[in-house]
Amino acid sequence: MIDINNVSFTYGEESTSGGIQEVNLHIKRGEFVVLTGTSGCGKTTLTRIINGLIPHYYEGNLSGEICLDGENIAGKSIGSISNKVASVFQNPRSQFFSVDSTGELAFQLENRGVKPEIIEEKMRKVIREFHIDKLMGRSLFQLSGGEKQKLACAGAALSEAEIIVLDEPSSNLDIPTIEEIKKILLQWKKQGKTIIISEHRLYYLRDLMDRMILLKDGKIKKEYMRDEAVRLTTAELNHLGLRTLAIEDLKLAASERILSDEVVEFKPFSFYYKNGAEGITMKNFSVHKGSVVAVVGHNGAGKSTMAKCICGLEKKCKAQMLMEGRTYNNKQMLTQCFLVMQDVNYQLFTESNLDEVAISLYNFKELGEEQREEKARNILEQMNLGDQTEKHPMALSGGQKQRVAISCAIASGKNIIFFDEPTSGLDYDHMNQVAEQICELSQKAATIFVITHDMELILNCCTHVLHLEKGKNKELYELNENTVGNLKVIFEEMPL
Amino acid sequence: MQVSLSAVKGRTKMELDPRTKLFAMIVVSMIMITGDIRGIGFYIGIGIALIPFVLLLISGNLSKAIIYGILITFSSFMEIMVMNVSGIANIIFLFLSGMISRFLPGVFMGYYLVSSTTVGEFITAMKKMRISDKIVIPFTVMFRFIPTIVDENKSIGMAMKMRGIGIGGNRKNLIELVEYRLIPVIMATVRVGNELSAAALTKGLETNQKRTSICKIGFHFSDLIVFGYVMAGAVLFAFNQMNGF
Repeated sequence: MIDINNVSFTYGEESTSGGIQEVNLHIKRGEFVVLTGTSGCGKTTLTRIINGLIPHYYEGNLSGEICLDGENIAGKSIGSISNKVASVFQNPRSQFFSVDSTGELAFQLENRGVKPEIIEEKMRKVIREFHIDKLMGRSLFQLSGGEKQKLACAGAALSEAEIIVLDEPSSNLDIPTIEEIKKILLQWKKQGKTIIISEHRLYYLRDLMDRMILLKDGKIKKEYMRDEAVRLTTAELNHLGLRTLAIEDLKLAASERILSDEVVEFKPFSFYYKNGAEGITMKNFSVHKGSVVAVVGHNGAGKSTMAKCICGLEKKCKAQMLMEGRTYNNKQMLTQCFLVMQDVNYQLFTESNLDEVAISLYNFKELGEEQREEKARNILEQMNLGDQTEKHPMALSGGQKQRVAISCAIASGKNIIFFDEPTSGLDYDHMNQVAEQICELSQKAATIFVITHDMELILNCCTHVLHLEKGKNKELYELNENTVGNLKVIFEEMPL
Repeated sequence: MQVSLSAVKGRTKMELDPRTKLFAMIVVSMIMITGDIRGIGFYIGIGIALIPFVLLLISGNLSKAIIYGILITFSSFMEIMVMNVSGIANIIFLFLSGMISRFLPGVFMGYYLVSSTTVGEFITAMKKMRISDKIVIPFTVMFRFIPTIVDENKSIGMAMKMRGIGIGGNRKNLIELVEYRLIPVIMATVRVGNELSAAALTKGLETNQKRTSICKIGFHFSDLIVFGYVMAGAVLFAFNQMNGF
């Protein structure tokens, strides 16, 4: 079905990573192939070569031969490739051309010039199959990440393409939604579609894959047939820089951390948006200083809303915090809390990393210009960014940007730090780095909350679990051998 | 089981064709920006300025309609005040009322157009007017982008607040403040734009293709009313500009 013969590609001249070299890959009709490897290994590039975005959208040097269904695609328009290959992308926010769900679903068939009556008939069928009638006729800005990803899959099904290419579709999804995506994939497999999926999270593909391809530095390093892949232990996978294939095998990282006796207490608060959706009502809760609290719950349980309220970002929320015998109101909490956003690109503003950290030192009015620079340099060095001080923040890798944001939090003297999904779309090694970072930060007596769906991250660095359900704090407990079971249950249960 | 495929659920009964909206927007902005504010022109202006208010109200956007109503009433009062005061006060009033009454109606018409029309309806309307793809596609992308920028802007505002960058925070000067605000917005927009274009290509969007659409647009009685009202305003305005009453 897909024959890739001796294909190499590099993006432009200056960038060295992400390209592929002399790749040979033959995929049979109806085969389910998983592409994996560390960040920058070239797996996304390979998906782009199959769906025609390379060379039609991303420019660079391409050589070799690519055949789909026995036909060489060189010289074919991307429109004609799109009849054979449907794509689902990583970022649910930016893969829709319309602003309404119905228009988006119809978009591809409209482009092909199919008669409106036939489009509607096909849409009805797909809507029934995917149980997405609730999602129809909505503004795409109101759908959650999971809902958007389901819609993207429905669009791929509607296109009736025989090949479906997915680029890290699970990055922004919680576990129950991943289960739903898994069902869709299973259905496609039964229908005999050829599926190529590039992923970091592997466990949900264990029962689906026929073949797993490990890429490294733009080359195919090893191919595993299903039987070989499932025999790999978590330790072996981790050694290759990969995530686990079996979530039930995961164990709590052994750590003896001594928590301080001091506690940070949060008074009960509630907050509702004007449109009534996703409100939260929190009961009183407190955590020890220096703990790392995993905030878990399904998409839409109110995790991000809670973070915004505690960080003082929602003006109308009357949250209160008690720390070291002092009460902080909503406005004062903003001076104590920092939120590392899921998309750190939003929170970096200046021209150099040094400047970025220096402007965060505004709480220290007594410092002069030079002293500030000195201090900023020290903080960046602590965060292993000593050699990056003069660089533009936007020129850094994702993980480095995250560290710059954390440096700013440290510089501003904030000691309650929230992370919103810090490891979505990260490979094993990078996830581990984030986990270490969080542990280190907590040892400096910062109290940390991590909003996450990443079981591997929680088991690596968290001390407590705060479980939110339908906008309420259901329970808060210490994470140990006895309570790990509870955590796994939360993650596996289906929503509603 | 019959599934509804209407573009947006819960729409009000009065639905205008995108072409009517576009026409109304152009006429409203033109009259308000170029119009004379004295004598009978003032009343024509008020009649025209009412259009966005009524349309926003009917489309169920109560809060925006009220904001617009307050601002425009305020500026109309100022226009009356202008005639009674002199000196610096006159210049300030003239400037403020001029800015509000001349640009606001056009801006709110634009908002109404974007918020009440789907991308599909817009493309179909443009195609029916036989406008070339070379114009339609960039316009459609812009159409898709306005809500995206609003969305991105919100997140960035929040991030700035948390970093203490802002008035009363650790700002350096106003220009830097604007720069801090704009750069992430531009970066985010470029990034989203790139990803969007890539996604649209894999869904077969190309120029010079024969495209169909499931959107059913067409003129109804409500279009006639709005069209008639806007046209009447335009005729009165033109007559007033040329001859005066």
